[in-house]
Amino acid sequence: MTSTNSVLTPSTPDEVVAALAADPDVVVIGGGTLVVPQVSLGTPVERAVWLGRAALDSVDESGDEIIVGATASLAACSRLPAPLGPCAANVGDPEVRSQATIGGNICAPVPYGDLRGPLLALDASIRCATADGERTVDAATFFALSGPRIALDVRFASPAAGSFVPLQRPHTVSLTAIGISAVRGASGEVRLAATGVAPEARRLYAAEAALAGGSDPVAAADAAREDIEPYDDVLASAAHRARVIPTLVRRAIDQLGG
Amino acid sequence: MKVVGARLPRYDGVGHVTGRTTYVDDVRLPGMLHAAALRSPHHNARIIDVDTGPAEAMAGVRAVITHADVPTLVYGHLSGAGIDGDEPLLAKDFVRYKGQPIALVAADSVQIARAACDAIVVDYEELPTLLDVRLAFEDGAPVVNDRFGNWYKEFEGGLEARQIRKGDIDRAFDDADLIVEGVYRTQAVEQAPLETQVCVAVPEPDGRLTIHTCTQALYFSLGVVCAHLELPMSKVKMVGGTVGGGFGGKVDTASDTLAALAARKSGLPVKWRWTREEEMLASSTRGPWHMEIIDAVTSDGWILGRKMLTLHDAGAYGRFSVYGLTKHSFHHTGAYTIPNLHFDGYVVFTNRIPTSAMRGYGVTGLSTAIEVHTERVANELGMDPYEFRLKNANRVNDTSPNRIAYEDPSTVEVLQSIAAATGTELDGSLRAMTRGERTDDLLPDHLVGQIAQGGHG
Amino acid sequence: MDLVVNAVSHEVDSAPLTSLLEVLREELDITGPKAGCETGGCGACTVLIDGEPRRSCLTALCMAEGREVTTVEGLGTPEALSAVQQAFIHHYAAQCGFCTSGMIVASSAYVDRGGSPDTGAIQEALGGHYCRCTGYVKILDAVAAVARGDDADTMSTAASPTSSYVSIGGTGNGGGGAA
Repeated sequence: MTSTNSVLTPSTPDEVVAALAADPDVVVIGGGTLVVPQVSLGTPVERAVWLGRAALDSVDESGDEIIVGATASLAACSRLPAPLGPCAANVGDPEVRSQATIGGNICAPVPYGDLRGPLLALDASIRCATADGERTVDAATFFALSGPRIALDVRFASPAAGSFVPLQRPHTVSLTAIGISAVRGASGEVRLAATGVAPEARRLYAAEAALAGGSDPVAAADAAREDIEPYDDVLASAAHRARVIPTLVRRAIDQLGG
Repeated sequence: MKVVGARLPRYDGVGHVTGRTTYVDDVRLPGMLHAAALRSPHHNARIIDVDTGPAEAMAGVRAVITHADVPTLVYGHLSGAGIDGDEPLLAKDFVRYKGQPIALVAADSVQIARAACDAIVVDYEELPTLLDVRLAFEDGAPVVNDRFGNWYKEFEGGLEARQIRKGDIDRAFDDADLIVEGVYRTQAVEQAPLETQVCVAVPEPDGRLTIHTCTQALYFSLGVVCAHLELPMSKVKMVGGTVGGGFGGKVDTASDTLAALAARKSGLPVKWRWTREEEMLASSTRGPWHMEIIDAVTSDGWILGRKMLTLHDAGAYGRFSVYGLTKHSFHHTGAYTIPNLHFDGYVVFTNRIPTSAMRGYGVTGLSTAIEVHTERVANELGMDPYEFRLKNANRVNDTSPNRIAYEDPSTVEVLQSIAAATGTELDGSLRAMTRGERTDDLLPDHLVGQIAQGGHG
Repeated sequence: MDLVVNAVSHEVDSAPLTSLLEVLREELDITGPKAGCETGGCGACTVLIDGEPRRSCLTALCMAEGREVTTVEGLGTPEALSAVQQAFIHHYAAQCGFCTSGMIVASSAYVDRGGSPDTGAIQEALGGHYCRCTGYVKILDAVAAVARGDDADTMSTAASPTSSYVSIGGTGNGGGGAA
């Protein structure tokens, strides 16, 4: 039998904020896909807060902004526009996607966290709980937070066009080594972001600047070499990453069309 | 006929589809303990000291097993075939691969057993590591195997390699129009059965042991358990046959023996189920193979001779590797007939996980090498690869490297089927070929001597 | 904590973050779901939660409280096999059987929601399930047969399989026909 543990189950977002303020070291559980195996394999968790009943699972596409609750499943997210939708659909298998949440994904350590790429490209903002209470920050700021934090919801303007190009996975059990996200905003600007091109998710500013300056997709993708810090991990070598990233960036730009 | 060609239901089908089949992990008994292993974090190290005291003092820990608890510590999987054992059941003075078991803890829960393993204090002196078979022969290479050195040196006749000599290899190379060399390396593969290694060992009131085992080789495993425990086979009952996948990875199930020791020491049933991570990191794999092939061929597409050097990466201990390499040597011409052969194969030890069988022991990687090489030879000759393969394909009464006459070789039909399935048009003469004994143009002078006399065709 | 499994309510003592797989197997002795990896990667532990296929190794006990859990044992019995179970037997879709519990559960959910007999759709639905015996073709055959509505009674006595194996060398002498 697993050692004893206690799980707080807040029923509103406000209770989530209060729970974190009261216990900043609490382990946060969204869908459970990352924490539950750790418990089974021997990592003790004494106190946890589970967000599954906190009324954070809605996906609202009715307004100017799309608002996605932190416990919306990746299956639900996979029905959203590119790059977020196809990125979510590229995680795990249908059963895992029905359980995993967007909040858990973007708070999980590398090499998890594919959805950070689309959210950077979408210039999303994230409403979150911190030890100091509730705040709303841009995605890059949220990903860089070092202290306790819980995502409550994610919001972004519906893109004029979007695309997501991953390095293909050999099997649904595999993690994605590289994911390139591209977004064309309402005023025609293109934003590019990626996971797997550097140890943390990042925008591809040099490639964006090249596009803004009139470069064609091939030249812009080539410019992305300035944006990347290829690294070795179990999913891909630095050399492999360096070789394929420009191709993936070019495809993502091409798929934006127009 | 009632059976041939009939659709017979699987005897175990209903159990499988309704979840009622009892696998070893589904066995549960009153008072059953759970086990966990302390494994080496190093590829190669001297063990200076092991202190199990902190683990034994923990509440809920019922038995801690180390090398000192094993009646016969070293037993060889091929001892029955005259090949000495080299692998301690639990590490004593050295650990020779990452993941090698040092101690087993049986406790009231698997969580306690794992925590107790963490509490055992081991003092290691790390040693240089050998992970590439090509470096094993160099002066000053780290020594891996305490019994055999860096390669097995006790083949029949005092040979250090498995050798095959057939025909006149020098003449074949003298007569050749073209010589094609290639080096091929295949990697280790984990069999990854969905059911990880698991067993339940039960001490019976009459002094016997019952072992619920996932072994693929039940009577073989019985012999191994009894040898380590120094028990007559009448004292051990193995219950098996329901295996959640093995694919070669469950022939060398040391889990049975270790759990049996823990059961005898604690006096209680002990279950030991490996985690997936243990299965991937510490269970035997298909071995890596390093293969160098040199073929002597004629411009009209006959393979006159083959020289081959194989370095089989056995991992840290021998297990079945001498058998695997021998099988490899018998197959080293693949689906083709080559009359003149010079083969040397070494079983080389490295600080990798010991290797074992997997679906075509010793042959699968070899087939990859041979087929790639065959394609290269055909391309260098400027010859249609189908024609080249069919010309040299095994026929009835051709002889294998170890001089066995083929009674029913299917190479010709397999090649014709591949052509048909891939939409490749074969010439009429190639389409008309059969497996029948060589005659006429397909029996040139250099092949006459290799046809079996008084064959079985 | 109360847990409803196969329409039976159980009072369970496990801690709330214990995996549902561990609760089912170790506390309730419901051993149909298998512990193949305990990290969500193999599919052998799949159960239905409120009719939807879920990994029981990724689901904490507290997440299953108040919901209907169905394991392979709850889908049919040796005396009354479900159509999916019947089809798996008929098409020889269970070999070592260790993945079969999860395959049956996921396949049942697939056909219950009206999944099509299309191979690609079945592959997508079962994409998280490993069969290391690599008997995938027969599994696809079995699920497609149920999705098509093949008669379960006919299945048990049919003379020839509807295998989707490609017969190679059909016109030659290597096709494997029993001459």
